[in-house]
Amino acid sequence: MYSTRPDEQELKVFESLPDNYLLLSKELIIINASNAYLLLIRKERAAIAGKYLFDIFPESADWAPEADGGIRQSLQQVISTKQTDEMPVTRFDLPDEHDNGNLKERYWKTVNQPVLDNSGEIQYIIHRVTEVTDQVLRELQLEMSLEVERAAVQKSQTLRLQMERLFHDVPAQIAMVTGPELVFDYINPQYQQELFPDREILGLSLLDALPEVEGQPIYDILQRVYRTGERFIENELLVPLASVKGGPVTDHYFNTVYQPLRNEQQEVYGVLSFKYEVTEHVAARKELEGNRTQLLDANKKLGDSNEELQALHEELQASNEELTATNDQLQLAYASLHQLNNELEERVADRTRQLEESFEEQQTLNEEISAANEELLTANEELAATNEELSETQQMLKQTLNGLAESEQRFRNLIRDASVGIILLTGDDLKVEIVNNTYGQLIGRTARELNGKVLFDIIPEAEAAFRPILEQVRNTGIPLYLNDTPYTVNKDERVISGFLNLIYQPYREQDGTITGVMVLCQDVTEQVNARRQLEKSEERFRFMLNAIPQQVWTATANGTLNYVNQIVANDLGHERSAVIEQGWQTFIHPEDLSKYQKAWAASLKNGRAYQTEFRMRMKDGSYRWHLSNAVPYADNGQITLWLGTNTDIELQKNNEQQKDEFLSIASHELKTPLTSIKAFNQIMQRTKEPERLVGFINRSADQIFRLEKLINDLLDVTRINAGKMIYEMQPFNISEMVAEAIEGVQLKSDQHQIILQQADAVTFNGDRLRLEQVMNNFLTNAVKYSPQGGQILVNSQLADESIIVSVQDFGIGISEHHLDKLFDRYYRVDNTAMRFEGLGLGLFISSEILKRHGGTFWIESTEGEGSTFYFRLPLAHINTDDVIVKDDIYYEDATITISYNEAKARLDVDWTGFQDIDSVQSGGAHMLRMLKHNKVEKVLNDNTHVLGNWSEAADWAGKEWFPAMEQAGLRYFAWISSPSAFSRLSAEKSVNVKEGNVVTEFFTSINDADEWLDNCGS
Amino acid sequence: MKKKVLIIENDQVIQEIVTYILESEGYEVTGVRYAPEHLENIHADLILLDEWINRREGHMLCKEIKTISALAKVPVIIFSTAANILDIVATCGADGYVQKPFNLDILLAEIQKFLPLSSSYSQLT
Repeated sequence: MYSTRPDEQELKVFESLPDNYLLLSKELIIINASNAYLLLIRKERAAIAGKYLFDIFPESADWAPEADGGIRQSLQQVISTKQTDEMPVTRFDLPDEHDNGNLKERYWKTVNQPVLDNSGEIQYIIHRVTEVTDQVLRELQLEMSLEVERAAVQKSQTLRLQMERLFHDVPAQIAMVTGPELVFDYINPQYQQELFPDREILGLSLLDALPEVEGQPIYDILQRVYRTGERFIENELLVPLASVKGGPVTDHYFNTVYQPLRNEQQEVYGVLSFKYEVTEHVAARKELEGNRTQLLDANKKLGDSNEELQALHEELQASNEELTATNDQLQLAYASLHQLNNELEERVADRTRQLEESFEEQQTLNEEISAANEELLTANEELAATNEELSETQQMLKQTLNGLAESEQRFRNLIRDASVGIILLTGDDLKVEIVNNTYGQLIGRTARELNGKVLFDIIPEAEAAFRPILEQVRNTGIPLYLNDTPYTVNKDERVISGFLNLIYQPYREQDGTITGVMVLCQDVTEQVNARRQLEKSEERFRFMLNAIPQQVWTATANGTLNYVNQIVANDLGHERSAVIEQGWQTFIHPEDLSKYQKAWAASLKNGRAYQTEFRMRMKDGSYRWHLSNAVPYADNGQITLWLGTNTDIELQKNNEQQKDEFLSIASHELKTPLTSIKAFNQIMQRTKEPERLVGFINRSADQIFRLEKLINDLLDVTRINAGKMIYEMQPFNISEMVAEAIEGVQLKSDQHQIILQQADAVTFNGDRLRLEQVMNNFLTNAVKYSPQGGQILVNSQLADESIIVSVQDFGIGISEHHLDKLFDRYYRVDNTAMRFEGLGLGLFISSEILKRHGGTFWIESTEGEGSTFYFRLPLAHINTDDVIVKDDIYYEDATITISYNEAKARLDVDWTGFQDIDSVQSGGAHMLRMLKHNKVEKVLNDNTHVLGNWSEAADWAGKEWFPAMEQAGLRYFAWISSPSAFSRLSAEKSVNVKEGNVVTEFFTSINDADEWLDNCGS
Repeated sequence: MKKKVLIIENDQVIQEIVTYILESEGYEVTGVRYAPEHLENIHADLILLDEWINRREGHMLCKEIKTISALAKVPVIIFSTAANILDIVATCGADGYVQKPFNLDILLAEIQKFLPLSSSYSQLT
């Protein structure tokens, strides 16, 4: 056996081999080791020589796959087959002397080669261990990077699909045109549907697809972007478009971004168009935006686009850097592979040289080693081949990646340049995976600040509102669309808020699992605000129109009534919709219709303000004068609306008429004495009988006196109407005043006999001269109304704490109709109006004087028999101590008796004597109380014993007392009229102005009233 | 035979003074403050009619007079203070007018237009 040992010389050569060699006997006894091997295993040669291999390496735990890493198996195979066995690369970590002796990851390639003797038996086994740590690590790295790249590719593809889906859903129009001809290369469905529903434009050049844009600014803009590579951003860009090629062109407005598309060489190869239509909003906004807002807006937008440009620049730089870094890495990997190759080649060359030297002397070993060398060469070749393969794979990968990168880049650009915010959130914590700057701006951040962060770490204030939505979409996988959603986020000290249209799209991996949510946000703050403002202003407008206390209406440009306020409906007694449907012509007095139609037609034609007057039929069937006015509301010179009002001018019309009447009468009254005076003067100038002159002069003087009095009366009326009549209140004796007045009038009319029948001595506090004026007026009226002369009876007596003065004549009398008219003149029509007619100014002045003394006047008259004029001045108010009985079923005082009629389930009321506002209100209150208490719905109201005139209480009775009584249960009211004309007229007046639904009927006898009430109700 | 003039004038004084004037000129004058109940009873060659009379306005009365065949040819002269006297004349078919306050010569000339004086007798002129 020993003879088989190599000799010393051989061993010396072996020992100096530069690789790790172990020389074993076939019994696996270590014969020798190369120095390199000893160095590797850090053992002395003596410590291992002559030892059994596995005694030396017992610590074989890591020698995977089996306990010894397969070495025993390999050696046995060599022994049995006598063939070289190459073991797979094994990991065996060794202590690292540069790292405190810690184990360092190392990989080894082991070859066991038999050296056969002449008989073909195994003489030695050469065990060679080659460290391949570097290669293995490179390979692993490469593999890992390949994995990463593969994953990236896969992700890119997923992303691209997502993007494509998203761009389908973006509420914006996206198109890509390429080449100098600007050929449509990509359009999203919105672009197709909203702009060209019936046209095929993909693959066509811009001019072929849209010939109508030639010569339009839009075409020049696109050309400029392509030529200069400068981005173009414009809001509310006007684009005239036809929906059908060659069809009619209409104006569309777009918020638009034209983004140049660049290839790797940074050359522009196309333009990305991103726009969304804002045609609808433009009108609304234009209405509302003042110049200032526009300026501010323009400034802000300029700032924004600067920022965007800046961000874009940064992004470009960043992606350039990334690209460079990747390139560098790849180059580095390639370089190290190359270097490794070179090293291997060098080593092989070295080793060959060494072997050549030693094998010249040592034939056998030489041959053996030569064989080993060949093996090594083969191994080297293999390694080179692997390297090449790797390099090729990498090249391919790079190409694929480039292709994919380009495709992905396109979509990344789309995202980056999109004028809608886009953000992809993944993971349970909703981390920002992808985000563009538009999104960033919405919350006051840049894309860089957000990228890779947990979104709600940055904007925790929005978590409550938006996290549930995001989770819902992620959990259900159902996309969600939310419009006009308000949002608020904080940025430093600032609060950013607005409105968004949101699209939530689940983000799916290749295998369909949802790992995140893609959100598209379109900023609609301006639109929402504009709309809200518009709504608000419209609401305010309507509210205002309804609040205006007169008729307000609007009509369309062609004159059709389209709005009336509630006042119109109330006035005309029809629903607003009914009035709008029927139009004004239904309510205008037929006599005024053509004037109205002409005026309205003229205004509609010339667009100038409209004004006319007409009588309108009111709820109660009466016609009232209205002044109708309207002004056109123009938008851009185009009339869009007429805003009109109808003002009730009945009062003014009446006043005007009365004023005209007044002037006409005054003029007549003044000219009449003047006529006489002038005539007397002319006669005097011509008379041939001087003895008649004195008579003419006297008569002329009378007329001058009459004129003077008339002028004084007119001045009084003017004073009264101006509220400037001055009264000097002093106590005086009324009977004396009456007597003096009679004396004065009697002197001037010798045909009449004025008799003072009764004159109670009463001291009254008032203006004696003014009251004497009243007395004079009554007396002269009596004289005037009894032209045939005769008696005039005067009475002045105390009654019911008042003084009542009457003047009775037996003349022509006043007809009932005329009496009603007189009452109307003095009591029904507004007090500010001027009024007087046949009776002259005197009665008007008298009524005013009496009113100022708290008094009233009234007239009783029978045509053909004469009239009695009364006035009443109160001395004191009614004393409530006069109440006789007072409980819930019976009440009685000086002016009223109320009793509960149980059998008829009603109140029986009897008014007595003169009534004024105090007595009417007091009596009315007792009636209300008893009606409530006895729960009845009928009243028999007897005015048979009422005297005088209580017109000052009529408004109160109609507008306040009747509604209160109705509230308390009153349904039927039988009213037995007073024989006194002015009292009856007062009652009629209160019923005329009455509000509510109480049924009221006038009677002249108690029996008729009783019968009517019996038949009412149940 | 003297020509008969009927004066319907509400104002007593004016009625008296015009009566005096016309009588001085030789007319036979009847003055009333109100129109007679039955217009058929009027016998006159000319009517001087105040527009401003109480129960029936002058122009209404004029229209009525013109409907009565016996009176249709009798000239009616409206006698009024009204500023729109010409309108009144035009609507009621009156034959002439005299504006109040009047000029004596104009009053006489207007009446003489229809009733020329048979003699040159005049107390006033």
